Amino acid sequence: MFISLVRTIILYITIIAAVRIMGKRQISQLQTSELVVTMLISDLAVIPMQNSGQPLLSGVIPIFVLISLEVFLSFIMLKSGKIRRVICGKPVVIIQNGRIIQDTMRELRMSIEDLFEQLRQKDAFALQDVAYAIVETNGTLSVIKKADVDYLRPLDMGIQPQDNGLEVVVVSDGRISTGSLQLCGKDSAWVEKTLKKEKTALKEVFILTANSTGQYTLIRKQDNKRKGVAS
Amino acid sequence: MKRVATAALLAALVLALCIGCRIVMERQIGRITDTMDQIDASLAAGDTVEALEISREFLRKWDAMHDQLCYFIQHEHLDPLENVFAVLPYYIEQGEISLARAQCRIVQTAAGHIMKTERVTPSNIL
Repeated sequence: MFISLVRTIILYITIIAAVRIMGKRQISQLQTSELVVTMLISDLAVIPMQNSGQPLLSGVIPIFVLISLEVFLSFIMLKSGKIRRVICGKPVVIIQNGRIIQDTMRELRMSIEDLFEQLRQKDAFALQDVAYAIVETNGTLSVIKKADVDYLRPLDMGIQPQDNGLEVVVVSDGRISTGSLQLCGKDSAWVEKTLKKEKTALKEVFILTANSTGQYTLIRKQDNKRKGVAS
Repeated sequence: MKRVATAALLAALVLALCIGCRIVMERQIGRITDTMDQIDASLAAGDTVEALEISREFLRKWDAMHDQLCYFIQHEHLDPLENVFAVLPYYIEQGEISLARAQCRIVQTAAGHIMKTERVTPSNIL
C-alpha cells in the first residue's frame, strides 16, 4: 500500500507540473486539443496509481509526451493561422443583426434551446436585443448587444470616473509580498507607515490590500475590517 | 518560449528514457538467455555440476536484475522467468535433466516474447 501512496504523490506532482507547463486556462476556455490532453493525462495517471505491477514510467512517459506535443502544437498554432484554423476551426456568426442564421445552426448541430440558454447566460433575454452572436472556437457564445439596449458606460455620459488602479494583496497572514507592492507602486516603508498609523503589528495582519492611489483595506486576524486612505 | 524550451527538454528526456530502457532491457534479457544457453549446454554435455553452479549463481544475481527490469517491464511478464529460476537448481540437483532443459527453453521463449512485444512494430502499436 505504501507503493500506492508514494506513486500517488509522485503522479500528483507530475500532473501539477504538467498543468503548469500547459499554461493557465479555465476549463470552459480550453481548445479541443487542450481538453483532450487534460482528460488523457488524468486517465493515464490512474493506471500506475492503481496497479503497482505497472511500471511508473508507463504513466509518466505518455504524460510527458502529451505535454510536449500540446506545447509544440500551441506554439505552431501561434505562428500559423492556417494550422490554427485546421485544429481549432474558426469563430462563426450565428446571429446577425438580430436574425438567426439557420444554416450555421444546422452545421453546428446547435438547437434553439442551446442557443437561447447561452444567450440568457450572457444576459441577453430577448432575441431582438442581440446585434451579433458568435460561436467561438472553444464552443462558447459571445454576444454583442444592440447599442440602444447595451449597458451604459461612463464614457456615454461624458463622465470620467476615478481610476483606482489595481488592488493587490500586499500583506497576507503577516507576510509582505514584495511583488504585489511593486505592482501597486508601494514599498515596505509604506506598509510600515500604514500599519503604524493603524496601530497594528505585521504579525497581526490577516490581509492588507492596496491600490496605486494609496487606498488600502486592512483586516486583522480575527478582528474587524478597517478602511482608510494613506496620507 | 520558456514553455517551448521546457517541452523540448521533456521530449528529449522521454527519448533518452526510452532509449536507455531499451538498452538496459536488451542487455539484461541477453544475459538471461546466454545463461540459459550455458546451463542447457552443460546439461546436454552431462556436466550437471557446472549447470547447478551457474543456475545458483544466476539466482543470486536475479534480484538485482529484477529490480532493474521492473522499471520498464510489468511484474506479470517477469513472474514466469522468476518461477523458473527458483526451481531450476532443484531440478538439476534431483537429476531431472529433461525437466531442467525444458525450463531453460521456457525462459528463452518467454524472454524472446518480452523482446518481441517491446519492439516498435505495427502489430505491437496497433
